[in-house]
Amino acid sequence: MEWSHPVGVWVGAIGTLALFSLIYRENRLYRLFEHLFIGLAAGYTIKAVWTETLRPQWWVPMTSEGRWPWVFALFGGALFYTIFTRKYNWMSRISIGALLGFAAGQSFQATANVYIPQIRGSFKALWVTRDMLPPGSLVTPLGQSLNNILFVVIIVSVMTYFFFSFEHRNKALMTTARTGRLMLMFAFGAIFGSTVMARMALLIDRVWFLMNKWLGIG
Amino acid sequence: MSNPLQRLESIDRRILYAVLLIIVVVGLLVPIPLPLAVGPQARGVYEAIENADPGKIVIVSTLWSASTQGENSPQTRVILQHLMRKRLRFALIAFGDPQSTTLAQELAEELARENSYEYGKDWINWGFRADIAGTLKGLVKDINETIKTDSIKKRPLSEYPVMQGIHNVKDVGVIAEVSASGNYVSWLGLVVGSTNAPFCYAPTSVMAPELYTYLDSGQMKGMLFGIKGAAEYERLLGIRGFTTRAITPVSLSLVLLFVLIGLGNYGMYAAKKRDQKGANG
Amino acid sequence: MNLQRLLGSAFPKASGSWIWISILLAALGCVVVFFALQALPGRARKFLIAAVTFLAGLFYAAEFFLPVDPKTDENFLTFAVPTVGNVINVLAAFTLGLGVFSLVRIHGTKVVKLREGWENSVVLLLGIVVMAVAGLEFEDTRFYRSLFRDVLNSFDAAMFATLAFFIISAAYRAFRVKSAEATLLMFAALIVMLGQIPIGQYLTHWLPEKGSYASLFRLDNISNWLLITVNAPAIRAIGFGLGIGGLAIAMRLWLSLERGAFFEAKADN
Repeated sequence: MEWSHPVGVWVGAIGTLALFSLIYRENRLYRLFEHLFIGLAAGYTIKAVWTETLRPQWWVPMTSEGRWPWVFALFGGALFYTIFTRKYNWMSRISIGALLGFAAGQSFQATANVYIPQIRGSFKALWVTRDMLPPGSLVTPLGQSLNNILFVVIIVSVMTYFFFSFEHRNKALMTTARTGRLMLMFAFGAIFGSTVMARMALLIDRVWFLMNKWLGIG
Repeated sequence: MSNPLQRLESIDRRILYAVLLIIVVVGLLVPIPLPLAVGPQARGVYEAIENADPGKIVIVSTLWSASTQGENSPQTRVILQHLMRKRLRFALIAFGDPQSTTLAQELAEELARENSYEYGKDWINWGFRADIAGTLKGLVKDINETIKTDSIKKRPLSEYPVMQGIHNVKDVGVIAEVSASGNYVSWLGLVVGSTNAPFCYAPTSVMAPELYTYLDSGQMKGMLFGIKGAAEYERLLGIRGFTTRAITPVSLSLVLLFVLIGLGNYGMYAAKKRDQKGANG
Repeated sequence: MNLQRLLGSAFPKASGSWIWISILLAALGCVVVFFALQALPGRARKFLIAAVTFLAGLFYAAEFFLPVDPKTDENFLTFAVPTVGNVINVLAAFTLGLGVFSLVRIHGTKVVKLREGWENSVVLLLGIVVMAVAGLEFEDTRFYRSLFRDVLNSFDAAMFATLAFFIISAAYRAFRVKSAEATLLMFAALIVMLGQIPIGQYLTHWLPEKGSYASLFRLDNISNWLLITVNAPAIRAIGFGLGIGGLAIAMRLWLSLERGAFFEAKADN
């Protein structure tokens, strides 16, 4: 089955240009296509939630497989919608509380599994010998030792920067925190550069759609 | 009156937009034939799939919509291409945004036709799940009981040959997640550790720098750094797809960014110098 | 496994016409519970919300902390993990409808009262209906697939692509190197990104790719070194803070100790 149709491509291209018109200034055409986009996305959510989750995991087990207790899930789900009423809106907090509780319960395992290897990995050997290096490594033992020392110093200094339990008055503490702040700037710089790269990739995808799929260039 | 150098600080935004657009169009039409070095992160993903146990299934998890398809679509594509080249069976599963299950399925269908991959025998779509953590906890215990039916034919998973011998995450060879979100925390926290399957991640470039810490600790075996990671993977697979072409405009637009930042700062210093001169004399 | 058997006998599978009878009776029970809940006094309501939150969290906490049978690697709660996961999944799916419901309510009112911009609201509501009907009733048609792929996906992608223009403009206008921090941020962005793109990598392409110490000075290798040795520990340190903070928040939520609009709102109106 084909996923594309020339009429759809034309509508998509015109909509893309209309949405791009925002960069010049806010206008009526932009707002029209913005609303159309939100409507289509909401319509798609209805479709996807029903066909991907509710029908196979709730409706079919309940009505075809005899698992009638799934009715209670409808009750739990319906309670969310009491948020729109003045009289019953407190009941939405029962279902929201259940979801928050489940998430909180899972967080013990998740935190342990995510951070214990991270903590373990932070205790790096500060003096590295040749046999500790992976085979074929170009880095010398001294070089790897320096890398590891730098790694540990940065972790400690950044953690010091975020340590707010008492004021940073001690000079050593202030210097360490300042180093941590500079190292953070480094990480933010890397994130800034990669953010630009990500946004450019999205633009390139759209321009390629207009050029190649719509106009047949390239 | 300000001189031309000081005016560098305040170029009209429409000129900037036009220059960016021209750079992207020209970059797409005339790719610069410069090779891209393959980093250890992309190689990590490649080697994880290359060394995967053929008796096990590979999970390709997706959490992206069309909003980030510029990066996530090529990433999903190269991973699926590699899996099909290695004739490994795989399952798609989607979280977060319902679009991702359809978008990944579309890619898989297209590549399956090219690689004679049969649905149900070589690959399967487990569909979209609104909740991540509960589902992952379920997969660790029992995949069939958690997923129940596939997304396309809506039949019980146990009926499909691709699921033979697959009970829980211990029967998974590799987990590859393509994501526009921080879903990796759930995988690392609830699944990795319950299985020996290496976990590989393909995030958008925005998220990539924050993931090096997990590569360092060995919790992730590899990573595709946005569109650039997909381009590296294409090089590893020896193919010239869209990302090989797109990497030229990506490069040019980053160069433009640094040139503009440089011009803005030069303009600022020129203005400052003039003000100092004015104050002195 | 006893708990599993107990639950199995408390909620037996229905068959034939008993399926719908059971569903109707259970639904009736839910209606009764609904009105019984509404009759609860304010303090009991608060207690109920706290109890539900605690019990929900207790399931996963106990499943994780309680010792397992070494033979099966399971404890007495493990059998329920897939089912509870499915229940959460269904509940989460219901929440996705909240946004749609809210949209329909707001834009429906706008159309009915002919407020400014009602024409756009009509388009929005039409979009919801057309997409939902096409997806639910005509999923395997080219019309639906094109509507999804060519139209919805294009709009979604275009919305986010406009950010590229804004980020270039913002960086040009706002990124001024005025302090050590800003200089370092700029330097990091420059070196890291040059090392990631072919044009930047070309600047040091004359150095060997591998097999020599000189290869360590290639821009791609320097970029990689900076990301692993400088960026990773900084992010890890932030992560430690986030981890501890996240766990503390989780505890506060679980035990209903959290303060704020949601937790302190009166449950007695």
